[in-house]
Amino acid sequence: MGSSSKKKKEKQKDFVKPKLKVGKTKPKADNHTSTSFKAKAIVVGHQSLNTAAPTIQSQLKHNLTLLNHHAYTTRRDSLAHIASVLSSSSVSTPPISYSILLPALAPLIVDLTGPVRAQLLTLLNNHTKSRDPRQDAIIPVDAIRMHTPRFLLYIHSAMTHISAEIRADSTNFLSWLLDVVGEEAVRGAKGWGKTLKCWIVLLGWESAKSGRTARGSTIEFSDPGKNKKATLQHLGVLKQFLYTGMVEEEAQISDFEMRDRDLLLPHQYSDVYMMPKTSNVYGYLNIFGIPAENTSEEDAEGSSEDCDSRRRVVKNVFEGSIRTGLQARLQEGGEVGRAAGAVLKILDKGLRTDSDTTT
Amino acid sequence: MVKRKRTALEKQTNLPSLQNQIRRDPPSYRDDFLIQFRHYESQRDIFLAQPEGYDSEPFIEQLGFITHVADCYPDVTKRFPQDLADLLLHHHNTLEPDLREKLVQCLVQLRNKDVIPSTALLQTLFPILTTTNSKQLRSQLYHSIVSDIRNANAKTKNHRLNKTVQGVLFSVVEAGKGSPDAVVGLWAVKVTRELWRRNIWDDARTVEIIKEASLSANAKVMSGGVRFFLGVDKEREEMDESSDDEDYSESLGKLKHQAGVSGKTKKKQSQMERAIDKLKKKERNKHKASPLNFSALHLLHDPQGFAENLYSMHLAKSSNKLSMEQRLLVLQLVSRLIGLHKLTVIGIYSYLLKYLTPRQREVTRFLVAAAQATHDQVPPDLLEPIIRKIADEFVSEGVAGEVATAGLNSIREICARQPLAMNESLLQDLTTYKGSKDKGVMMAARSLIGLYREVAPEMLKRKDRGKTATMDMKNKEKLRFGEEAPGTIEGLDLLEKWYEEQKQKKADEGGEEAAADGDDDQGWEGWDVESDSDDSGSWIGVSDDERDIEISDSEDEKPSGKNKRARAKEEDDKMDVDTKDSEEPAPEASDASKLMSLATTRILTPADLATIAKMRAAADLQKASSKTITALRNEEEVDESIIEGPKTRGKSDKEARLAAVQEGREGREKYSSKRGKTLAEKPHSTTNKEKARKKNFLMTLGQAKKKQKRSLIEHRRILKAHVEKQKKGK
Repeated sequence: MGSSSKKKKEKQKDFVKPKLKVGKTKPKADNHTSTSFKAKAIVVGHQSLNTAAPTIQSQLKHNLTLLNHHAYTTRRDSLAHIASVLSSSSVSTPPISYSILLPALAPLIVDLTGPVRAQLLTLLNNHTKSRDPRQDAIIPVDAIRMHTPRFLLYIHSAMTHISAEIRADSTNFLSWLLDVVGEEAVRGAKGWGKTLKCWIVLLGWESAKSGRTARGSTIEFSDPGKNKKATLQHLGVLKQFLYTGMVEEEAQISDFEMRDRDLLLPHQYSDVYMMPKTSNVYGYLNIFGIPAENTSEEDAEGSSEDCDSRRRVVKNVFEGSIRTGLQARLQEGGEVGRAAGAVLKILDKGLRTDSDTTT
Repeated sequence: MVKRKRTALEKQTNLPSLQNQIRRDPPSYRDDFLIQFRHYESQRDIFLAQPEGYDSEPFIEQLGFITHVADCYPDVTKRFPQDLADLLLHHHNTLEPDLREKLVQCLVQLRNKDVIPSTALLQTLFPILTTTNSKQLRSQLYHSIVSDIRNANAKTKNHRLNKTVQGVLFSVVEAGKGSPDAVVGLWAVKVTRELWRRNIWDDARTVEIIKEASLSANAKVMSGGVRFFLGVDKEREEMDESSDDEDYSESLGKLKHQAGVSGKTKKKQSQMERAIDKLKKKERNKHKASPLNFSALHLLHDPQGFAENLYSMHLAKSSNKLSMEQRLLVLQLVSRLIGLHKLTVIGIYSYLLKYLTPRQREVTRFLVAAAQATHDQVPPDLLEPIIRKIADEFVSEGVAGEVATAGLNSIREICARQPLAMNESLLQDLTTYKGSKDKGVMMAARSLIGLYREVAPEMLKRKDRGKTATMDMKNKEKLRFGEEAPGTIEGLDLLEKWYEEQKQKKADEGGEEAAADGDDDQGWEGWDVESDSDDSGSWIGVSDDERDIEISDSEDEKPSGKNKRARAKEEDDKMDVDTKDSEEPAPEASDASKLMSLATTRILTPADLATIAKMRAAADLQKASSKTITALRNEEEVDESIIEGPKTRGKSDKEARLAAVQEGREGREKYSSKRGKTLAEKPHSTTNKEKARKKNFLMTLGQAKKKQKRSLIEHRRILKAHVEKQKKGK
């Protein structure tokens, strides 16, 4: 008995766990091997030191990719960087192709954070409108004109976004676009019919159209705390939009230009046969796009290439709901009422010219 | 009003909450929905303007939202399903996988909400299924298509939908029929097969689709179709069985137990109710007659044309590039068709002849095909070369036992279907193998003898005929080609005898008169039959009229004996029975009349049939020779194992067997008690046994002495106590 238990104890010894104590180093294992060594000097094999900074172009490209970054501060900073680069460059030598820059900027219209949108708006305002009328803007109008459809798409998206802040900001961008490219922004089914539809839902006037009693929609109230401000702004832009779309401006042609034109174009209709001044003149034919089944029937009613057709679209489809909505605003009175009155006036003016020309 | 004010104060910040609110009160949130719908439209336009490199996350979310509430505003979302379908149809190859998956999901969801009809969904999904390059999308589409059709047919068969879908599938298969590169049909076959397997489609139109597919020029489509015919019925049966196997009763018992043990909750109660419902339903279904379920091969229109086309398209032409496996499949199907429908495709026999050599790969399958393609309407001179070739190539002294077995077995299978294919001298040659030392060969030769004892004993050598066959020979007419034997019910005489005995017994006991009627009623117990049971008077009258004629008939005609073919046929129409079944020779007029009376005076009840089976089993036991061959039917397919014969391990295998045994022993402990081992594993004090073993001898002396001096009473008490202790220990 005695001998066996002794042997067992001896055997057990191998399996006893060492006790660990707080504050003391862990006891080293029996088979521990030290790998430390001593040396007089450590030589690093390869090392690169570069004094040349990356070029402006490569920096810009990098910043363009950062526009998709998930952190909003990064996006805002890269926008600021792009703005600073643009403002320091001259008109004749753009630092980057606009067909790369502008499509990258457009999606930020529906950016989820306010500061980024604000930054974008300032960038666009500062660099596309020239303060000095004799000097061209840094980003030429033609470049913007070429990318108008793309901007419009994102503006539509913003006007119907679920977030109220984005919706509120959306008309700022529309206003900017109208300022810069003018009639180009309201041309075509996308520019006119689609935008009008977005207007209707943005202002919550859809229910008025369908014949039901106009009632307080949830939409205006969901603009937090500043619904009046937002509405005022919306109505202002709507006025601008309708004006651009429906009221033909008599171009002020100076005598000099007249004479010049006479010299250049001897025939009365020669401008009809000239090269078109705008891009994508036959866009309404939709030769290369998806067939018209994707646009709703309201848009397909007619092209909106000129004032007359735009007036027709408004008259046939949207006039009722716009009027009802504006009347409701008019009754509210105050600042909003006045703004609504102004819009109504423009609407009347636009439609009247239509009836004048047709009769 | 109150509701509206409340909703007006809420902010719409994310889609899920808006979705929830819309579902509760669609009219109030119409404006919000309109905004979102326009947003979807603009998102879609952005996507269309730049399909590549588009961040689809918000668009996916928007799609999900619109889909969920689309049924609340049908006027606004009229074009929405079409939009989705167009997106998918035009861009399915460039779309991001997530977005693509979502689009399919949305369409299926719209279908489930009944926004779009099934046909529209299938018309969108099927073209994509056949054209897309993405495996993932394909499987998603396939599953959604199948499940959609399943759902549509869940309660009742939706014949209109089935018809249109079958039409589409048919046209798909037909369109790709001519070109060898069109794999479109493959998906049609797959869908059809799945639906057939699930018992959703079980009509001739379905079979027609597959028929078209098996005649396609593309090898893959063709083999898909052929495989359907060969295997799908078995699959279906397996599926049915597996669904039956779910043992509800067991789960019910478990639930009942749980209900007793733990607290009663609503959930558990409802679970219990559901289980009970299922059980009841199952019980009800047991008594219901099973729906008619035809096999695919039976539903074929024009099997002759089909078999001929299959043969001429895939087999006869040597130029086509089918693999051996595919050719074998086709051959299997053609032979099966020939056997099942008794067709005549003359070319196949000479085709088979080419492949019947022992060195041919998969030769057993060719042998099977040869056997399957035989039936009693095949001219013997077509089969004779085949049998001759098999006999020459397979059955000779020089070949291995397995080869000879296969040869003999296949000859037997062929001859069982068409006995006339054999000639006397060859048969007598072959039967000499009954003395072979190889067990398989011996058994095969014997089975051949057994077969010919039944069908044509005169062809056998005298000593091979056996007693019963020799006795029977006098009554047997020579076999003639194309002869159809009239049907009989085998064992009817036994039943008659049994009835006689029963009557005798009853008469002995007390002589109840209405015994027969009582029996009848009992026999039909549990069987739904219109009450046209025994209007006995008129029935007997009829039989009395016919008696004389029938007797003369049975004397004129040769008794058919145990004709297998007849047996196969007779099961189809048991009711119109002729009474020419006779194990015993005809002359006893009284016997024959008795038999006839039984078959013509009463409808055999299931109980009667069971009795017949029992009596026959008993009779067969007495007559050992009659169980040699199992019932053969040309309808059934021939199993390869029948041809191959029993697999034996030869003597040479002994080392291998020993090696296998040794391998099993490797790494395992010797079998012994575990008691000591389990104790040794852990540290423990000395056991009583150890102590007893080490106890000092002198200390045990007293105890031993005491034991000897015990009185009988004492001894008994101790023994009793021990027994008690044992019992308690258990």
